[in-house]
Amino acid sequence: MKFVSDSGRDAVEDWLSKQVPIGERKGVRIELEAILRNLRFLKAEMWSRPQFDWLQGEHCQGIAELIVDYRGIPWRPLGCFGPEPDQYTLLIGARKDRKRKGKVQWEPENAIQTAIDRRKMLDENHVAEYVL
Amino acid sequence: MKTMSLNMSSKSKIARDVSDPEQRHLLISAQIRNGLPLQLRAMREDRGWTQTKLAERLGTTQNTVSRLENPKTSKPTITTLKRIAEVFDVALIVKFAPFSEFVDSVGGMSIKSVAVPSYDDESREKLKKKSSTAAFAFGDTIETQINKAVGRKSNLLVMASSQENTLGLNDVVFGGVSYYMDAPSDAEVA
Repeated sequence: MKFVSDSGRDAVEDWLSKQVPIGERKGVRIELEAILRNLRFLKAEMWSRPQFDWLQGEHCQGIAELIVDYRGIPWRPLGCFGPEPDQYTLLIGARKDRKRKGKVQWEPENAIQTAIDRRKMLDENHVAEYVL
Repeated sequence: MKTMSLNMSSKSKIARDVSDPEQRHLLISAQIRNGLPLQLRAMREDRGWTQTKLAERLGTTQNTVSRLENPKTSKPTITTLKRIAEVFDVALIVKFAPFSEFVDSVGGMSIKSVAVPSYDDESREKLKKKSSTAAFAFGDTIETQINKAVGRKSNLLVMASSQENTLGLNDVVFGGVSYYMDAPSDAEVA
């Protein structure tokens, strides 16, 4: 599934069109979809590195990143399980840069907080099926 | 706002992607890069094997298995794939194909097409299905029961039933069902 805002904007398309350079969009989308297409047949407890990882820290409990490295760029769409059992919802597309002064830099900077906020809003009016 | 993509199936989405020359080759590349490592992991975990156990069976190291299961480092040769298929007792299909076949294959993926069962497990499953529809009569011989389950009589069944003293029904049925299934019936031989 993918998060859809009140104004009808879809988190994946939003990310691809705003953040991913135009020449990379097809490749990033296809890579993300290939990962999800294959990962979805594994039980949720089997989702793990190197394709998937939970974010660390009390405040971002339940938020996970998909590890989509494309042409050396570490794209990390954030998501969570739900709203229904056996569903996974992409909440926001993001990019994770190398640690600076011991801190991971996210692009957009508020990616984690946005994911946390959107997770709280998850219901049938805020998700759309992501056909893979 | 459940308005997007709802009327599109997985196959039509992939079919649309392959209609673009650049996308179709990216798609093949992404599917191979991600599909094989994840399938390897799914088959291993489905059998309850650790990476170390699989490594022992393959005659390699845990580190090599870990690399094979990682899309970033997985670069198996066809020889390695053949060896993996042998260890899991599954078939391996490596061939060039039209894109329509790719769309059907990737668009129609299922849990069984990922965590592929071994030959024996698949045979057992087939027989269970057949058995569930066959009605056994009390007092049927083992040969009759198997014939009812399989739906026809074959020479190999007779051979299997001769082992009744040493093998239970399940052993006979589960141990060699594929041979029964493939053997021609008396009518077919005639």
